[in-house]
Amino acid sequence: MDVPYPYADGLSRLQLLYRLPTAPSPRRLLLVPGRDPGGDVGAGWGTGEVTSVSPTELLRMATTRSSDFDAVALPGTLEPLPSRAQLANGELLAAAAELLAPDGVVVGHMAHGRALRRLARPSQWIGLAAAAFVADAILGPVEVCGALERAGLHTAEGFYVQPQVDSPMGLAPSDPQAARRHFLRDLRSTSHTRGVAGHYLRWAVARVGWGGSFQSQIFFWARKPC
Amino acid sequence: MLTTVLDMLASRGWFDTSTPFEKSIHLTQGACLWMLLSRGGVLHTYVKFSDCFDLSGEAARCEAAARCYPGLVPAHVGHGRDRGIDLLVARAAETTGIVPERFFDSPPPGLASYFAALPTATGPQGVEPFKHRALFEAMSAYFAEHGLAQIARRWMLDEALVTIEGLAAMPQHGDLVLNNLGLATDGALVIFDWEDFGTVSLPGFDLLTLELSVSGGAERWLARRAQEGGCPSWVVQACAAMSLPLTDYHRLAPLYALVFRYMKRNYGPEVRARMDREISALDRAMAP
Repeated sequence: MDVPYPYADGLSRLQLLYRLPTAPSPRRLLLVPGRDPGGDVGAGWGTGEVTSVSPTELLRMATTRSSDFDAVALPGTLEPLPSRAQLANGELLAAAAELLAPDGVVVGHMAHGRALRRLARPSQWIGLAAAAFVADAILGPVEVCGALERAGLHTAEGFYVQPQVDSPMGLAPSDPQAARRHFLRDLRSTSHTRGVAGHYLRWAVARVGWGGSFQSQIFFWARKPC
Repeated sequence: MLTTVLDMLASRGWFDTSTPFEKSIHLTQGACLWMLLSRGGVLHTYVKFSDCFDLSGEAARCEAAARCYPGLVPAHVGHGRDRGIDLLVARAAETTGIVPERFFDSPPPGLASYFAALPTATGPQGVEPFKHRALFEAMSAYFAEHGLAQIARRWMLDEALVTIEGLAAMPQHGDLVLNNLGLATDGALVIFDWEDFGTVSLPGFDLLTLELSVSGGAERWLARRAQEGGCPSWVVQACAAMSLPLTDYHRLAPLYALVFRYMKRNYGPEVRARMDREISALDRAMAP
């Protein structure tokens, strides 16, 4: 009685998500870790050479090299609202695009700037209000797709990570209509797993199209034109 | 990986990717990926895929399940392999979860037909159900190493083996729990997740896992039995459909739970620990 699919821990599942967007051969990966568990994403890459650099090093490399990699992974590298001490999201994405070979992919995850958990902290409110005036802010999946396209990448896709990036179980669509349907469907099929109050709170939030606000991270990818 | 999957779906005519569609991506605890594809809000296709695992065995099980229970299982579409990616495709079903509190008074329509069809169901081709004696040996070795050895010895007696060898073998779903049931928009029961179909052929196994799941665990299951002085009517009907004496079903409950735990031996530590607690509760209450 064989067990067909051995249990995989959260990191293994995250590594699998990073392999989702197809990278062209020879699958040379440039890994630019930000927050944990970013540094471990490369261990599950499989075939293809993995090079790991810091975000600062990424910017430096992009000034001297070009088209050297088939994929660039940005696990926790981008920030919803980068402070002055942090590197700008736009610059990091432009550098990643520069280092990609044609048809190569950028793939990554980052904090969701509009997550309810984040909004529950009053200290975040001023920053979020200021985001409206900060061109480099990436608060959600729609903004990350915009930022990827401004960096010269195309077919950008953004998702909400369910439930947490350190133990992911899925990626929910970010298109408002598709997201609304997804979260309502999710609630219908799991109605027996929550209390009545929790269920109806989530139902009301999903009904108005804010289901993604329960998710604390977003996942994204885009491709460099051939 | 995703480009290959979408290319395979389109080239085999399993899903039209040339017009706009929506996808949600999911992971199993066993690190397989699956997607639900929909168009205009209408769920259309279920796709399971992996760059690590061969899905042909699961595809055979899904195909057999759809053949045995056409009204209860989403139609199987196909299995393919290309550029190192294995793919399993079925029609997707829009469903609502089943509320356990209502289950005992009003079990979902279609559940009786599942148990009624079990005696004539044929398992997937090429999947040989575990022989009971070999299963006992494998379980004994496993539990000796991973705890529960004393409990396993108490319930895996030769007498139990004689009882189960006297029962007609019938392929079980293998993971018949509340999470794997849903109600379609027309109210019909839908049963998902057939990856273990036919692995166990022990009548009553599916019934016990379902009863425990709906009850919310072994202690509540035992308390309900004590309170109501017997089995609910849908359990009585299911046992009758399988020609399984109620006394045998009840007596074999800890054994079923041990088999289930053995089948889940590669699940995560939390699941294993929870199942061990359930088995201990059954043992405490039912040990002679």
